[in-house]
Amino acid sequence: MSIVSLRPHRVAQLVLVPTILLTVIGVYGSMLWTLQISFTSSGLLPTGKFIGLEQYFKLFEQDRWHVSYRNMFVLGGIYMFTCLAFGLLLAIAMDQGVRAKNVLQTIFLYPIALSFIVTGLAWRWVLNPTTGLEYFVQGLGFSGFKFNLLNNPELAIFTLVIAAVWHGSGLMMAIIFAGLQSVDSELWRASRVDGIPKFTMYRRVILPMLLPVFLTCIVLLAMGVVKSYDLVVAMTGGGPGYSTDLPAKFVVDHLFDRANIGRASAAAVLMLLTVIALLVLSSVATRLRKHSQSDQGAKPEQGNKS
Amino acid sequence: MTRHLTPARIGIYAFLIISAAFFLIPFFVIVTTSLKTVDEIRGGSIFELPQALDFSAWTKAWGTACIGRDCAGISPGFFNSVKIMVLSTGISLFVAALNGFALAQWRVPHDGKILAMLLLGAFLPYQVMLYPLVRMFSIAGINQSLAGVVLVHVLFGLPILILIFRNFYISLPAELIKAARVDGAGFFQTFFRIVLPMSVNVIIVAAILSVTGVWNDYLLGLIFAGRENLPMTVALAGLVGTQIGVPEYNVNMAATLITALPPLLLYLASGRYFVRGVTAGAVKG
Amino acid sequence: MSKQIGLGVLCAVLMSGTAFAQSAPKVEVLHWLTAGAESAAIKVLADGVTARGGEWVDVATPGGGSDARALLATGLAGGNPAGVSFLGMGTETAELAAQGVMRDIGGYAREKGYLDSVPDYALAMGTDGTDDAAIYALPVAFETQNFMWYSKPVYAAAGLTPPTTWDEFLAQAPKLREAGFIPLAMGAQAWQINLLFNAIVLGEGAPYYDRLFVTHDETATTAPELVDAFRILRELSKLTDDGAPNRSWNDTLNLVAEGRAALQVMGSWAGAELGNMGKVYDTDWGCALSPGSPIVMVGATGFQFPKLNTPDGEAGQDIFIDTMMDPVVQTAFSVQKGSIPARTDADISGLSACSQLAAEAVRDGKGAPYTTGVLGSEVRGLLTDYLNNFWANGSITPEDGAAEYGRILSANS
Repeated sequence: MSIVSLRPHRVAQLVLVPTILLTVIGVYGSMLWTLQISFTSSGLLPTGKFIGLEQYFKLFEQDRWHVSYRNMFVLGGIYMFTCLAFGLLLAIAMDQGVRAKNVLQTIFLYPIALSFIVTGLAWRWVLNPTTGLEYFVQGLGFSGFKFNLLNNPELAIFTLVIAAVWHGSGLMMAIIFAGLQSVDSELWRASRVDGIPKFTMYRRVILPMLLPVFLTCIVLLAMGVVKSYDLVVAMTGGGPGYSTDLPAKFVVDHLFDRANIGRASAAAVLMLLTVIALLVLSSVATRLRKHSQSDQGAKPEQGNKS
Repeated sequence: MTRHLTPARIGIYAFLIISAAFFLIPFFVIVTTSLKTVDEIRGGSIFELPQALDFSAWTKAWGTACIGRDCAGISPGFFNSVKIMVLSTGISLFVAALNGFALAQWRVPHDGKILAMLLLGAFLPYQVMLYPLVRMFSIAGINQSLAGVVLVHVLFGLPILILIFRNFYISLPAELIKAARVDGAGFFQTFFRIVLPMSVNVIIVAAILSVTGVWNDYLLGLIFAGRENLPMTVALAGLVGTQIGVPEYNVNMAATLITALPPLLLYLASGRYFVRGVTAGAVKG
Repeated sequence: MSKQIGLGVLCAVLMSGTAFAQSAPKVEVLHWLTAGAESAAIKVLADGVTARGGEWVDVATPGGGSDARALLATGLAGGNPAGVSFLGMGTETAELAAQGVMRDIGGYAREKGYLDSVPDYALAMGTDGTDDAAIYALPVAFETQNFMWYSKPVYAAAGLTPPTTWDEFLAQAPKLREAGFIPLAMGAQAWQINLLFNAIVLGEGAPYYDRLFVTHDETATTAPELVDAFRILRELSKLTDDGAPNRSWNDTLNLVAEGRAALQVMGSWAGAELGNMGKVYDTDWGCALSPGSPIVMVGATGFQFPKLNTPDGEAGQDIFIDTMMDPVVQTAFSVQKGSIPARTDADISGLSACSQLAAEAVRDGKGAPYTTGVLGSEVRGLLTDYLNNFWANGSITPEDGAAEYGRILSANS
């Protein structure tokens, strides 16, 4: 074993080499290659000639691209907000010393264990107007009942929201609940002595303390939005029309089905730029927050480490 | 502490129970539908209970339902998923633990930058890397193979796992490592004899994150696994997409349930660890 | 939905070494013929390949043609495509051939005399458009794209007769609704909407169809016929049921088979599927050309042959070509699938009544090529996207729809 003769620090450094190589080639190399392809006229194979920004111009002419790009923000925004709000409400309700807490937590949380494919298929089945909820309620005698989100191009995106919120809000509840539990009970006792209403306590004292917890939640949710390709495939296939298309699906469709890797690469690069912009924004926000916080010297406990 | 049932408390319970119903509905529908016959499904609504416990849809989904012309159910997908998961998780955890240990306890120049570079990659959308990876893998001769799909899972899974291990190992007392070094132990001896035995908890957390991530993946399996190694999620989507004659929703739902079961059981068995597992990546990110 | 590719003979060879070099040549066949009757048709080919000493490796994508293309693309990109790939013949082959990834099987097929009885226009779809001698794809059958499949019990119960024009159908629709039926069985997937729309355009007259899609006459893209076609499409989009979005074609056909919907516009393969569902022609269902169509719109279905770098790859492809160009096999294939054999010397007496109707029309020269054969893949993609959106989005007027469709067509052809 020649390794034995090396100094341990060297070994530690060598251990990292494969990972670094893998990432530099696999992630960053791939990224650059995609960038290069996006400037070419490549169809099925990356052999096209250099055509500058032509693919990007053509992309901007495609209404389908605009719809899918907008959907990413609509879906992302509504999903993140609803998930957080619902998770927060559940967590606060759970924090009121209710019974059967463990059973409830198990119920709220299990969807997070399931794949988006399973989630999508289950909800497609429930929301399908001819077999699911609508058919059921009509069967109860409400023949005029309509719950037909899947068929409406303006509303179909909300079926994705429903399924995604179902999938993720339990986790938000668990994280926020853990944060609430870690709040010092002295604080609550003091507030009761002072006669401060619970609602005011939550709004003014508890929730601001949990700001880092919310940031954790947002990071988790944002990572989910990027992965939402599977959910769209399982639920709507991008339809009706292309009203529920997402950039992730647009790219995969053009990469393989349409055999237009030049266009697909251009779309992927725009996705990348969007994510980078959001990362920069969030790191700036974090820095600003840390800055203002260090003045007060307060550092609340991270709730999710319990 | 006893509490009276005030209107506010009734409201809280009502909210929690309605919410619980919302979370349980899809599961209820999947389970009951999978136990019904085709005629029962067509005749009744999705919220009716099955007339009899009929597991024939389950056995069909597992072993004889058709995916294209291949009528072997989703069991091949199950075993493929197991293969992919065991290899991906095993390799990822081992490499991540070693790397996390190296970054946390040893003098590595630019360790902060290395970590940042790895983590940034974890946030980027897969779509940016898909096509070049297909090309690279085909040059290396591992496109559409078990090795290919495992490698891509390792590639995308490693950064967060390394972060988890590093955050854990950084809290180990430095004296421990120093003492080992005085005894003449090298990097690997220290790791295997001292550090690894202390890592059971963090390994469980990391394993949960890795296992659920790999098991629930669809896109990477679809593109990189190849026909002979397609994971269960892809098999499920194919099964639901194949319809010969009358659509058999009970079989579709049974297949959905079977696909969902492994991570669900893991969730029920691991309890608290599970939340830590799935959130671990975002902590101190 | 499976975008898998066949693991590649490459890997198999690497792993097994040369130990099995003597065994039967593998023929990996990528296709999406997974519905019941289609599946029976592909079995005819599979049995033929086995009988000729090949080892059939089935690579099916239940999700349909787009998934198969995805798989072909990944396979080609990765250098290990399936050796034989099913396709609706058209510009796709030329685009692939231009990139140098397809095998020229012209020499082999000519030597064996397989090309003599195949119509020239079908052969032309297998070339790269510049060199007639090089052939990269061969047709196995012609598919009629614009059949109307209707439920006899539904029409009897409603006291109506199947429509001969679209306007007649639009007038029937309220009565069908009143009688408790879904007027139009439709699976709102992009390709199905595209197929329906092309049938409507054909209903505007064969010369117009020709001007719009085949000869690329600029004036056709702004003609009133296009607005009228969009008017009909918009009306039709209101005549289906709520389960339409993203419904597969055979799932949709069930509505006609079960007597819940009046009619569906679908290709000839639907006839075979109806038979496969146990429904009887002329009792449960009937067929006709889509309303207003004077002629049949035919697409050639066939197989293309990527370049392989495995030792027995070409041997496998040759076995497949021998099989698919055998007139007996072609007839058996078409009987199962409901299509017409590509070889004009194949026996057609065993075909279904609907297929014979189409076969006669083709023989009489009343045939028009499907758009797959005449439009490039980029423009077809854009047009299909647009129709898909128009169908779903009731707020787009027929005038706007026609204007945008015409603009896309003229800007890209």
